[in-house]
Amino acid sequence: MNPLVWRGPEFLLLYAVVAMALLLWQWIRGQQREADVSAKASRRPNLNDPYELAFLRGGKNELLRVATVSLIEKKLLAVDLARKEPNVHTVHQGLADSTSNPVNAFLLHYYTTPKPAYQLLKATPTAHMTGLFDLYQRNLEKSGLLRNEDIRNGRASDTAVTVVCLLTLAGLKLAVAISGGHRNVGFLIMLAIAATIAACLIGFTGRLTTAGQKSVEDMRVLCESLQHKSGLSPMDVTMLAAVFGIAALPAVGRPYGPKLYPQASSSSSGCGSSSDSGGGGCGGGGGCGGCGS
Amino acid sequence: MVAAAVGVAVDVVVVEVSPNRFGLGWRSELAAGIFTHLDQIDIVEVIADDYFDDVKKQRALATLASQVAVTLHGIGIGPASVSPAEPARIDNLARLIDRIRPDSWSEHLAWVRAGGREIGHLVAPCRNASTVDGTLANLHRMTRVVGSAPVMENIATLINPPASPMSEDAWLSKVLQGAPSVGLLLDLHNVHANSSNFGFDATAFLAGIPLDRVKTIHLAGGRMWQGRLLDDHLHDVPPPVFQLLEQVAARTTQPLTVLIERDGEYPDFELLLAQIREARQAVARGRAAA
Repeated sequence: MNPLVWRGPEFLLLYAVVAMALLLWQWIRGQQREADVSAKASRRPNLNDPYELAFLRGGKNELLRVATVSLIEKKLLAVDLARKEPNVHTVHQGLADSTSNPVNAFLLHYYTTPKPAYQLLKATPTAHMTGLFDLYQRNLEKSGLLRNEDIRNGRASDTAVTVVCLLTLAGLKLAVAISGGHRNVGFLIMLAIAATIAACLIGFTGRLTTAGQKSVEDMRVLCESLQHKSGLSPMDVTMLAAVFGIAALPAVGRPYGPKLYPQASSSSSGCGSSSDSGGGGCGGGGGCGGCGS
Repeated sequence: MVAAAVGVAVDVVVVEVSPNRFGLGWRSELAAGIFTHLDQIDIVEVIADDYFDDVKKQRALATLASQVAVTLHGIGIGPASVSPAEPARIDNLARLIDRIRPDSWSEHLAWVRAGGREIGHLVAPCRNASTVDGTLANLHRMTRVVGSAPVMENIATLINPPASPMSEDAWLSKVLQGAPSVGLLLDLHNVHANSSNFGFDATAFLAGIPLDRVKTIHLAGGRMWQGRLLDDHLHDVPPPVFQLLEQVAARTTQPLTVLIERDGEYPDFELLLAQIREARQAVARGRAAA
């Protein structure tokens, strides 16, 4: 019996089942693609580098936040808390040339002129910094923790297959229904739109692979006690911020915390799924720790 | 030969790779220090019992093991007893070892329960023939279930166990003699504390045990409490313990894994790194003097 001539409720049920099956297929294919890439990873994840962890968790802006906090804790950057929008500035001129870490060197140079920290997140990165961000991105892709181009392309084609199937089936039924004089097709259109949105969410959201998400979760378990440790060292603070986000830093002794990135502190869940997650006003804190996942 | 023929001077640089490994006990509070200094830490020791019932923690432990060598340290079996060790506890340990594949695993030559009651503490066994037999039976059981032999640790005690006709070194030697596949985890602060509290010579103690069976060494610190030296793991490793380490290194030839235990009142991580360096130097001095 041709399902296209089934009555509305029966066909809607069939459509829902088909949509669920397609979405499940798409999700499993995506997982398989990531697992294959992670299994063939050419580089061991470097979870001992807080900056790499920060980039993994929240992209370039999270890296800049964590690095800024780290330098403040090490007293290489200072915060002028007297201002409503506190300026950050380099403590000693010339420090930028003596540090070997390129992110630290960039920040120490950038803050030679005092300015609010959040401005850096909105600024166009220099070619040097773009190259550095690309390096982090490539390294994490090689480690199988971030989705690489192969995974992204594969997921896009899986999404296309799903969406084409969903829309074709809905379109055929609509044609049959309308040609038969039926106008009660609203539910089918809504279901088709909802399934298409779900397919796009599965296919296009997130930066991290499943292995990347697990790595972040594992680091949170391993570093759990840092959240309750008294007398945090600059090293502890950097790791804490890298793993949990700067909103997880204890307020005691860190009055700059909520003022440094006011948008980030007030935004708790607007992280969403942009490929540059953690950008703009999003992320920055513990609330957005899993951004991009 | 070719170099000589063409008259080129060749400098041969011999890089000596030490077979000994140095590290410290994994504590979550020390995570940042450990992760950011893996160039100076060869191995970490993880308390196995903390991971038995939590799959999420076990996965995190596997991630840790992917970054640094891990050895698992059990605290809940209490095999130095005339009572059989609880099978469920050995099974838990075996499952974790299967999952993590650590470099080695260890337990204590202590008992922790009796008559179904948990003591919540590692207690020194009575040193007699019965406890030797009981311990050997438990070690055999553990080795059979886990599939590999443990490294067993001597423990500190504040009281001399009653019904103990044997000295600690004699009892320890007897156990190791009866379990040839089992290694010794020699806790030098425990030796130091016991020798201080019971007035025996630590050097003579070392001479009385089979040092060729030592695989791992624990270093720790303690404090005086009611006239006794308490092994609390809350203080820096004292100089006498480093001196004992040097002695052990001088009297042994096998590779050693040396671990610093710190369970609280954490100092600046640089101090722990300095103690690891001091341990390296003590072993190097001992080996050079041998």
